[in-house]
Order: sequence, then structure tokens, then C-alpha cells
Amino acid sequence: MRNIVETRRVIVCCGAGGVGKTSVSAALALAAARQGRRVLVITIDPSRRLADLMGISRRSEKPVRLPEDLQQATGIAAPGLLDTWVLDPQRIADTAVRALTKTPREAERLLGNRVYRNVTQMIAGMQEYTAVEALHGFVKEDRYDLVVLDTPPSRNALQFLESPSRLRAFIDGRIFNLFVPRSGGKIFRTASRMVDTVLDIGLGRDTRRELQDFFQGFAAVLRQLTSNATDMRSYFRSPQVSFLSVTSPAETALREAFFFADQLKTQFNIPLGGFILNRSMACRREELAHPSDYIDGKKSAVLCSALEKLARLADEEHRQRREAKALLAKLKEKAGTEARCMALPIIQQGVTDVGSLVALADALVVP
Amino acid sequence: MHIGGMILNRMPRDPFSVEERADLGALLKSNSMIGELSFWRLASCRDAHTTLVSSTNLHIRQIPDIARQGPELVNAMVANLAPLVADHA
Repeated sequence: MRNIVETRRVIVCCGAGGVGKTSVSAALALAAARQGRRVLVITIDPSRRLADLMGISRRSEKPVRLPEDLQQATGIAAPGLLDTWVLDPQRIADTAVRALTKTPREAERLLGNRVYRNVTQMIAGMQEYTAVEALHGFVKEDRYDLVVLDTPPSRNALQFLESPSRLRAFIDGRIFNLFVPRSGGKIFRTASRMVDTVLDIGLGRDTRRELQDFFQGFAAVLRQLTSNATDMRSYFRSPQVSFLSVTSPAETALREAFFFADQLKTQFNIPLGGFILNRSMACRREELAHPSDYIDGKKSAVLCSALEKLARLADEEHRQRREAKALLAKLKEKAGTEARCMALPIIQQGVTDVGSLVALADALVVP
Repeated sequence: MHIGGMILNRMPRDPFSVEERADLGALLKSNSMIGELSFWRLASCRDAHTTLVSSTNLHIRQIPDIARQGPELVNAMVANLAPLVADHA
């Protein structure tokens, strides 16, 4: 992973929910910052302990710098830096509206529209879509050497890339066009007035007007956002970007990881940067002692009994380690020569303190 | 909405007595050996269970960690949950 961490401008971490994407994203970002790079990690749903550890705030409108004491403790030195930001789909949509409407008054009118406030929370793929929009903004700004994006937990990780198409379908859909009629001749205008009359009867004039305001105001914004997303899809194919598939030993997560790699190539023509097998027993040291080695006449009966029970658990761990190594070999075969593949160790208690975050970063890029 | 209860899935069975846990824990703090990951995981699961029990009045049904896949896993879980369904019938 060293080459990816040191050379890419964007790293996108994808995977099923619960595989540890957020922790891996944070550790990748830390590893890059320690190499002297200016790094931003965009997280989706950090655990409270990780958020407290890294000073991540959901309420922050701008990226937050990692606390000074934590930078020192984790080995980040200038010019390296690490900023974090929590993705808030509503805030990103609001920022896009302010940037893309013609006047502040028009922006405030749209932002205050009840339909807008509800729809932006309900549009399927909004979280994935706004992740792409956020990435577009930061890449254009050039404030960071590397942006690590922790994608939303999705049953299908490809939703992240499919969201622009789904939004385009929404814009081009019949319901949308009912409220945003294209310009036309006299017959068309007459027909539009008739549609308005029918809608007034069904919805009430105020609701119909609010819906029309929303669709007419938001259509232009949505078209520009979709254009940004399409630009990003092209950018994703460049050598500056790596997609990493984070998976765990669980069968469903693995199935999704393989499916994701195949679809990334065939549907989007994007090569996979690598697989990261998280929480893997394959990382356990081979030379660890066995509990039975500690049973002797000097130990108490209680401790000997405990060691015998631990020996049974140890034998189970041996079996799990063999399975984990076989699984890693399977992933390496799938990765082939083009993609990287590595396993990360199980971190007891999860990534909740400096030591565990550094341990994960060390496993990704050996210092 | 009424919540009938909670199901705590993948709760590993703890084979150690309180004394065994204390003595072994002390040994493992300065001696690394295979099996220790499972031992510390038991401790985490115990703490999580305690937190859960102390924060709710709901009935909590535990399903053990079943090291099987496919139909065997399903059958084992059904056997575990059947009494719960019978109680609510």
C-alpha cells in the first residue's frame, strides 16, 4: 500500500457495512500524513470513540485539523497534516444550491422550500451522491495532496458510482417534467396551463406552486451537480485515483468484494487498486506459544484448568488462521498482478485510542 | 411502538470461572500466546452484555456464536430461537 498512499491524489474506500471502512480510511490517511502529505479524510459515520479520538465533529462546516498533541503522538510532522470532515448530505446540498443559483435571494427561496428540505433527505443515493460532490470540490481546490473518502455503508458498494445515473433518471423522469415543462409553442403553453389547473384541484394551489418552485429552482442545480458527478466518474479512471475494496472474513462481505471488483471493471472501466482484508487472523504471528507450554507443576490448579480451556480456544484459533491464510490467497489470486492485496490484524477493542490507530497505520505502511 | 425484546447474536460461550479468568488474565498481561485473542474477546462481550442489560428492561435472548455456515447455521439458529417463538405463540 505504500505506493498508493504516497502517490495518489484520491483514495476511495468501498465495502459492505461493518467491515471497518472508517477505521481503515482514518489509518490510511494517518499513514499518508506521516509521509509528509497534506491529507483530508472524509468520513461518513465515525464511531463516537473514533470521533472523540480524532476531534471529528458532525457539526463542523469545514474540515477540522487533528489536535496538535495527537499529531505529535502519531508521528505527523510538517509539512504533513491531517484534516477530517464528516459528510453531511444536507449541508453539501445546501452549499451546492448557494453556489449554483443566480442570486442569494433565489438560493434562500429554494433552501426554505419545504419540498427541497424533505426531498434532499429522501432521494435514494443522496448520501453517495453528495460524497461524490464533496470530493469534486476538494479535488478542484487543490488544498490537499490526498483525499481519502470513506464511502457510505451500502449493501452494494457500487451505489456510490451509480448515484449520478439514478439522479439523472430522476431529472428526466415524468414526475419531474410535469413540474418543469420545457419551452414550447402555444399548444404546449395551453396544455401546461391545463396541467396546472388539474394539479391545483388535486394538490391545492399553494402546494402546487411550492412543488413547481422546487422543481424549477432545483432542476438547474441538479443538472450542474450531475455534470460534476459525470466529470468525477471520468477522473476516477485516472492513475491519480485508487479504489480500495475493504472486506472482512465474513462470507457476505467477501461476496460483495468480489462482485464489486468485477463490476468496477466491466461496468465502469475502473481498475481496482487493491483488496484490504480487515480483522484477519492471517496476521497472527506463527511463533506464538501454545497455552499447554505453560502448564507445569508450579502453577495453581485454577490456573492449570484455565490454561487447558484456553488450549481448546487456541486450537480453534489455529484453524481460523489456516482458513484466513487460504482466504488471503484467494483474494491475492483475484487481485492478480494489477491490484494490491493485504491483510490487517484484529485490533482488540477496535480503533479507539492512539495506539490502535497507529498500529493499523503501521500495518498498512510499515514505518 | 411496542418492542418485544432484544436478540443478542454471536454471544460466545465463556468456559472460564471467575477465578480462572482472573489468574489467566494476569498471566496473559505479560505472556503472549495463541488463544489470547479469544480470551480478550470474551471479556469484551461480557462488558457489552453488562452494558446492554443495565440499560434496558427488555427481555434479551442470546444466540451463541455458531461456527457453521448455510443450512446448518440456519437450523442451529432456529433451534435456539424456537422456545422464544413458542413463548409468544
